Formats: sequence, C-alpha cells, structure tokens
Amino acid sequence: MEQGYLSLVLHCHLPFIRHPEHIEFLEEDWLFEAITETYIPLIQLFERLITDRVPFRITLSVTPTLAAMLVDPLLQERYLRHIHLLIELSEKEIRRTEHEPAFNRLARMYHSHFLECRRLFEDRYGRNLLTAFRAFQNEGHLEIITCAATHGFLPLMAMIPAAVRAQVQVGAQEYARHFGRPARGIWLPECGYYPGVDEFLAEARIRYFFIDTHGLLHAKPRPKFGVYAPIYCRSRVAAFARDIESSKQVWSAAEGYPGDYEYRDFYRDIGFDLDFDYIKSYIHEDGIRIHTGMKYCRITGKTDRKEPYVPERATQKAAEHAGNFMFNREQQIGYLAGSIKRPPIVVAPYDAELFGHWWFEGPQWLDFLIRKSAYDQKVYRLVTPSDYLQMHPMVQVSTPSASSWGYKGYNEVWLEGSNDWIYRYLHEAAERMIELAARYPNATGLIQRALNQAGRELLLAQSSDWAFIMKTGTAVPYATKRTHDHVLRFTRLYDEIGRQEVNEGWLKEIENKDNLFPGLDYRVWRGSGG
Amino acid sequence: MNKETLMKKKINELRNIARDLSIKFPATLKKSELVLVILDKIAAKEEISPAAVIPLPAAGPQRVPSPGPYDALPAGYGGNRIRALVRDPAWIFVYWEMSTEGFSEGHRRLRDPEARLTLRIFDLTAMQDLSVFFDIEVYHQIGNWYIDVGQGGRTYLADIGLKSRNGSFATVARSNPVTTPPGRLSEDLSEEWWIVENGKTAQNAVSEPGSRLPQEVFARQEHIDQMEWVSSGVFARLAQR
Repeated sequence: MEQGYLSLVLHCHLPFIRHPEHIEFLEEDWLFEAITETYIPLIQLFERLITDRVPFRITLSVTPTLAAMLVDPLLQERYLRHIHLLIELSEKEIRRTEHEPAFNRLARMYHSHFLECRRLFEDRYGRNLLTAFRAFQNEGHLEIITCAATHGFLPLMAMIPAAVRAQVQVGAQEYARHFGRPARGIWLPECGYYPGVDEFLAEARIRYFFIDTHGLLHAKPRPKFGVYAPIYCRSRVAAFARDIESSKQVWSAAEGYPGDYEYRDFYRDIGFDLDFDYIKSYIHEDGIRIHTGMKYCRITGKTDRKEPYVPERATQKAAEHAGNFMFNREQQIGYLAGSIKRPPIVVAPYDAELFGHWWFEGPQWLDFLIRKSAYDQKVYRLVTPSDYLQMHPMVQVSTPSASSWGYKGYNEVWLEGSNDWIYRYLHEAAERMIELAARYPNATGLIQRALNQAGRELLLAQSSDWAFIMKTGTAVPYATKRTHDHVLRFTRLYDEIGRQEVNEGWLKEIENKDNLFPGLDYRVWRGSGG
Repeated sequence: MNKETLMKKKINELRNIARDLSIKFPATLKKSELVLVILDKIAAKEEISPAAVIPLPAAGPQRVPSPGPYDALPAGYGGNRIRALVRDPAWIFVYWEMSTEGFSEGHRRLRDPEARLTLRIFDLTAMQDLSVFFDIEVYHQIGNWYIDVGQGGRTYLADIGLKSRNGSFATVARSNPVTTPPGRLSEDLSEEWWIVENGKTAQNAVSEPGSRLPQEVFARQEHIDQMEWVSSGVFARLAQR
C-alpha cells in the first residue's frame, strides 16, 4: 500500500495565432514547433506506455485556443506544409553531413522523427491530434482539463464578474464540445486566482483547479496539511496547490535537470548557423532566420564552445534524472506521510511545451519517470485530482489567497509599465459586450452574427499572452498589434450593431480570420440569469 | 505632500518634516510608519472630514459611438471612470478618465477654480466607511497610478476628483473596491471539513485524522521570494534569441 500520491500536471497552451491573410506567418510556427517537438512526442510517449501496459495517470490541460488551432483545417494544412519542408531539409542535411558522422546521425535522427510526425499526424490521427488525447482520456490514462476560453488572466478582470464568467463558461463549453464530456477540472490561466473566481467554476460544474503554493499556504483558515492536501472553497470547488520542491528540479534554470551539459542545446540551430543561401527556403520568407528544430549540439558548458550532441549519453542522463526525481519524491512523500499521519499528495505542474521543445529530453524523462514510478518503488502512486478526491473525500474548508504562478507570485507580470495600458481598453470592451448582450436578448441573423463575433474579438483581446509578451520583451510589436486589432474590431462591431448597420462583407472577413469557438453564443455575457 | 513623494524621501528628511509639523515620535519608528504619521498630521491640519466629501454624481460614463476609421485606439472613451486593480499585497493600480464636463462640474461644486485633480484612496478595512483615506495629487485627466499601500489583506476604494485649496473634495468617479492578498500565513487555525457530492455538502466534520503539517515545513515554503517563478508562455519567452 502506497504512502502518498504524486500528481503530474501538464499545461498545454498556445494563444490563438492564425493568419489566413498571409501565406506564411512567423508566429504561426509556434504551433508547428509545439506539434513536432512537444505534442507528438507526448502522444508517442503515451502510445508506448499503453502498448507496454504501464499503468499511469496524468492530468493534462488543453486550452480552448490550442484545441481550436489543432482542429482548424487551414492550420492543419499548413502544418503538413511545414513538416514536408522539414523532411526535405533533413534529407539535404543527411547529404551535407555525409562526411561528418557525429552530425550525420543527428540529421538522420531528425529525419526519422519528422517522417514519423507526418505519418502520425496525417495517417494515424487524420490531422486532428485532439483525437489522440481524447482516446487516451477515454482509455483511462489521462484526465484532460479545460482552461479559461482564451487564457484570460482572471484576477485583472475581477471587477467585471460577467467577463470572468464568460471566460469560464466558454472554456467549459469548448471542452464538452471537443472531449464529449463535462470538464471536471480547470487550469486557471497563470494559476491566477482571487477569492470569488471559484463561484464561476462551481456554476460551470467544475470540481477542482490549481493554485500556486502561497495561494494555499496563505489561505484562511490556515490549511492543516499545507500544500499536501487540497482544500474546498466555500463554493465547494477544490483547490490543489503546486509543490515547490518538485517544481524546482524541472523548472529551475540554475539547478534544474534541463541545464545538464549532456542535454541538447536549444539555441544552436541550423536556421541560424548555416549559410543563408543554403537555408533560405526553410526560414522565414522575408529572410528572417528562425529555429528549424534541427540542433546538433549539446549544452557542453557555460561558454559558446559547443560539442556534438550524443543521444545515448543524453538518454542515460534522462534516466538518471528520472531516478533522482523519483528518489526525491519517495523521500519527500515518506517523510510527509509520517509527519502528517495520512497520505500526502504532491502536485507537480509544468508547462507542457517545456518538454521536448525547450528540454529536448523531457518526454524521455517523463517516460522513465512513469515506468520507474510504476515498477521501481512503492512509496507513492500517480493519481489525478479526481482520483484523490474519490479516495479522500473529506477535505478541509478554507479560502485561498489571491495569487498566481508568475514572477513574485501575484499580478505584476501582467500589470506593469509595459502592459498596464491595455486594461482601460479591455475593461471598456467587456462592459460594452455586457451592455450589448443586455440590449439584444434575442438577436437573429446578421446582428446575431455580429454579436457573436464581438464576443470572439473580446475574448481574443483578453488572452494573457499579449500582456506576457509585452513584459518579456520578445515579439512585442506582434502582441501590441493583436491587442489593438481585437479591441478595434470589437469597437467597430459595437458601433455598427448600435447603428444597426453591420457591414456584412467585413464581418465575413473577420469571422474568417478569428474563427475560433464556432458555437459561441453572445448571451453568455448576460450573466447567470441569461 | 502625498504618500508617493514622502516614500521617496530619506528617513532623515522625513524626521525633519515630522519635527516641522511638531509631531512627537520615537526614534525607532520605521520609514513607512513615519510616513503614515506625517500623512495623518497633514490630513488633520487640513481638517478634512468625511462630511467634506461631496456625494458621487449618479451618471455613469457616456457611451458615444466612435466614428472610425478604427485604425488607432482612442486616448479615452469620453466619460468619468476610475478602476482599481490589485498588483500584489503592497500595491494597487488605478486608472481613470475624467471628462472635461466632469472637470468643470467638480470645479463648480467646489466653487474653487484652482481645485486640483486628486486621487483619494479610502481604506475600508477597519471602518467599512470613508473615514480613513489619503490623497495623491495627479496631473492628467486620463491617467494611471501605482499606489504603495503597505501591508496586505486590506480593502481599498479610490475616487478621482478635485480638491479645493481649503481641503474640500469633490468626487467625480468612484472605483470598484479591491482587497489585497494577505501576503502571510493566517492566524486562524479553526477547522471545518466537508465531503462534497454533486456540488452539495454531503457530510461535514470539525476535525479529520492526521497531524498538522510541522511549522518548519510551512516556514520553508513561505519564502516565496526565493521561489522559482514560472508562468505560462514558453514560446513567447524563447521566441527570439
């Protein structure tokens, strides 16, 4: 009998980036890279575990924006174009490195992965990777949870409750549409919690969410078992909190596993390193050099001198690190079980895109960890929050503290000098949306379409990603433009609806551009009475 | 003098100001405490009483359709509006917009053409009324401000308005209330336990077997300043070299 539980949570998220008006678009590559480097490796990992009959339970969030992109025919078509180019590039690389065996074998490694991506994407899953995740859930291995509609950072819209409610409701609706069942859990964007947001989760029949460590430690009354047991908000929704120790080993740039010198280096990419004329067909059409995903070096050390990557040595490291992680969890869970005299739960959430995209060996590490956890130890078992609540239904009642998992633990990442200007516009648009929904309780035809599209534009403007990008300083013009575009599209719709003069040609154009959430009903902004 | 400007001063300067205002204070008083004492004294001197707060006008912001061409965001929306947001336990953020009409109306009510644009921050934590507040002079009809409110776990409300030379204040718009997170462990150790089924409490209890997590474990995790911060957005972070 185990002494406690480990709950691994992978948060899969990308903002909605889709530009039919351009033949190719730099930021669309984020999705394609994530598919090749993270989502497909995770699917391969789950397939291997299932084939080998390894028992596992993992919690995985798929945000509604990511789901919308994964099922979109245009982006699917573009992914195929992208992977075909990579297959072609890797073929050229095999020829180019013919006399350099250390690189040649890596070119072959990438080539076979790209071929496998194409096969899996097109032949096995019919271009729709959601079907893979849905199957893993239906077979009882994954518990997939939802997220707010567009990953809106809810604490900074708290003063407009109907706006928060719409983010949650649409998140729950989209989940049901994609996965054919109601969502039991939700990933609050950026773990952004404030007392009261749980009421909207309860209304959407969501049973649990996640918060950062201090959100639970600072709960009132003080939780008896710290972060090692969930708590119930008064709304009867459970909050599970992130464990710092297990987080640190994976996340930390300084002391975490991904920085090991044997692991593949992220930055050295042939998209930057090779002759322009050779690589130009595989980078951006304007000649902007980008990551191709073909990277031949290991981290090697702290200097720029890099040595060739040796996959076997990296795999060996991933196995060692998985063993180390397991050992630490055994120690931690054994100690905690003795100390609180009941089975503790350790919750370890990670951005899924860390695995594979940033930490190339991450999926291998997970593979080792899951197998070792199943066969090499008896101290803990992998569970999902739902499993835990079923086994330990008696839960302490407390109200968590407002918190997030961003730098400094509160709202500053999304509210600081670079991005605070956006809230004036986001809040005004949200209030106007509520006003529209109240003014048109039963719109039909063109006005109804315009109202639904206004809702999509509002939700897209609210994505936390834009504020985050402004803060991190990368791709700022793009994030600024997205905020402007969605607020302005919203404003024009608002004005045209007000005048009852909707320009259908233009409406059609933006419906085609911002085409997510096809079933969205603007009446979701009417509040709980609607 | 407002909190913002006082906080920027050195402790010795603050001590001088306090002495100038004939405030008696222990030498051990910390900077933030000294600032509060000074602010209290200034407020008392100006004899601002809640009665001097002129009631809020009822009208909300006017929503006027913008004519287009929708190629740039407007500076403002042409109404009177203020909103408050929480940044962290110690800071709140407000942004506001005061229309030209709101500005003239405030002046007319105060009968003082030289009344200044002012933020009034009410602390509702202890009194639940508008008796505890401090003022910050601001300079733009459309603007924003980060406000250092010191310790967490408190509830604030912000007014944007005009303040006359004699200290009377005319509110032009009032914000939503905001409550800052506590930023510390709760002293409340009471217990209540539930079993929830189908969204309803099926059973409850006043205790549950198991020992309280040792204090040192709490204490170790409490050092959130040493935490490894994450936040979603791997791609955004790695988008460029």
